[in-house]
Amino acid sequence: MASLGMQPEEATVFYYGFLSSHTSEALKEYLKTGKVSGEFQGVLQDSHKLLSDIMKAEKLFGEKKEAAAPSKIALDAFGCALEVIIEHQKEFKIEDVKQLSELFKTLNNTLKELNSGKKPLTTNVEKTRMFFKRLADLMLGHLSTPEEERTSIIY
Amino acid sequence: MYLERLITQLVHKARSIRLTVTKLHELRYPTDSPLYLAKVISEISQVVEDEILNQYWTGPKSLEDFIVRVKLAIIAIRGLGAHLRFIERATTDQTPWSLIRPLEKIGEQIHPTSCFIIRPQWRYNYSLLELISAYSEAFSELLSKEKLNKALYPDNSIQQIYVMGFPNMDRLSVMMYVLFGHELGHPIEKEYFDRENKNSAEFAPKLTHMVLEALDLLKELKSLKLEQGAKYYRMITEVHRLRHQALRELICDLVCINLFGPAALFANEEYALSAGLDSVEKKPPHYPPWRYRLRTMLEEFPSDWIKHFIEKGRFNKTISKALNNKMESIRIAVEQSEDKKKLNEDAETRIAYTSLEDALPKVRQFVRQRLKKYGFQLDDLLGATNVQLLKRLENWIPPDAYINNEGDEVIGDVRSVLNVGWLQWVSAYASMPTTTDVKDQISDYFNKVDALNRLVMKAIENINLRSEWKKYELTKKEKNYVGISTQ
Repeated sequence: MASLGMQPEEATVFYYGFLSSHTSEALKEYLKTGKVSGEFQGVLQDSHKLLSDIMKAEKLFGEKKEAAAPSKIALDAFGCALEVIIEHQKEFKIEDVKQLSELFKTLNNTLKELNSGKKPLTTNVEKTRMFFKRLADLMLGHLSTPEEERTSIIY
Repeated sequence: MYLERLITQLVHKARSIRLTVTKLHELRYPTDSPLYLAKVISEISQVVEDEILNQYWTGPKSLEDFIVRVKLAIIAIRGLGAHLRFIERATTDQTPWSLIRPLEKIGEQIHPTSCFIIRPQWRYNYSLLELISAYSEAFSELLSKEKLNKALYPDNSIQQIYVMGFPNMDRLSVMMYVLFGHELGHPIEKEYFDRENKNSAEFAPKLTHMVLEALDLLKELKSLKLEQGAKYYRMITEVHRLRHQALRELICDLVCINLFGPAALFANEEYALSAGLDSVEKKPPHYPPWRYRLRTMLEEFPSDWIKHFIEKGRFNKTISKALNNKMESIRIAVEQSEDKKKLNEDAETRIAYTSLEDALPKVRQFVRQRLKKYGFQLDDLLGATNVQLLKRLENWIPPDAYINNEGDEVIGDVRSVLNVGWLQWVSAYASMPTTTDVKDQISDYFNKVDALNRLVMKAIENINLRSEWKKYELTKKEKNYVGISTQ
């Protein structure tokens, strides 16, 4: 299970898996009750941090792409996110890099608003939940495959 | 019912881990470290079980998300159970236990808050895993920090658990244990990358530019289709990965050289003998070509270092010649550049290694300073590896100590002992007799090689026992004991 590509190490896959399933659960609660209970506050902060890492790597596609210097953590996070989007391209309605950028911005802003007690749009919360649910499923899929047979859509 | 069956599976596996840990306590180990790991694994299995049961009884807000979590927890528990093999393999009868403690001591000196578990593996490889950081990351979003830390750190003084593996086939090839020096470098390469990741602006933009050039994408990227964007991202991450993995192996090689000097170079060259010197395999885990690695290692010796090593060791002409010839043969091999040509043929390796070359001077400096901070320098071997130790070996006596010109006994150190072992090997046992008229001498050759390995092992064991005795004597003096104290 220990680390043994910018295919993240196994411990990171577990981390993303648990975080995503918790985040999806937290957002389901929010959609139902309009509130995030105390037990999920930390989870939403951590998932916002994950989106921040994704955004750092997303700068590789931006205007100042050559100045972008994402860390391995950011590249790993972006890779997993990209894999989710590509696998569910129709569901997220993403055709090009510009739309991908906008999606990540939406997800990031939604979590930012939730963490600061604001009320984001319901459609955005639903989209964010969908993303994290799919990410959890993807991580579970990776871990369910024997290590020597693991591949990534990205590769 | 489905969820209840999943939870039953989880609890069953967690209990199975704890049962196995109980049985592992019946075996004997050279140190306490294996059972410490067993305790950590047992504790984690308990808190994971408790947490999932707690969430189930409280009632999850989303059943489908909770089910995913339980499945992840089951896979994690299975992984934990598999790690019990490290403990089972580290028993006294499976390891050359007299070597374990001296190697652990070097490890603990370089990495003070760690413990080491050394065990044979069937795969022909030397390896190192750090488990606490992996467990910490894997479970941090399932368990509270308090519960996780309590399970991970039953003894607050141990922050890392390193599991080192060596090929079972080479259990008694004592001189190849120098390669553990490479494994001890892995925590150091992590420290280097932790630092580098905070300053990724120093190298990452140049990498990005080279990738954009290679893909002819020095323009607006937002109009790219998703698949094209994925291709660009894929190349960026592949280049980063190749750079990272190559650099980490080179850092470990440099640690090995600074710890064990010429012995490290010879052991690596011996290991590389059966490999393609210029093979470039990109898929994970990527290793630099052996020629590249040997060149990087050789260049770590200052130009006149071997001359000083011979002079201070007062080695005779035969040994000096054998040593110089050996160094020269490696120098000739690494002067060729087939490896570099191969790396340049592929855009991804070309870009990765261009960036790596830029980082190497800083890396060398980092390694030397890091080891010096904990008491290890290449120059420690000058004079400490000497003709008196070698003479003992030549006379079939363990080279653990000698009498100096002043008539005082000088006790050797592990690093010097391994070096004299290699000097003896290089001068007398580089290869078995192969002409047909000496066929019956082959067994004799391997018996002598076996004896050489055993003498070096015995020397290391003696040095360790002396050091443990000295520590005991000092403790006795301080505590003013009468008679034998028990631990």
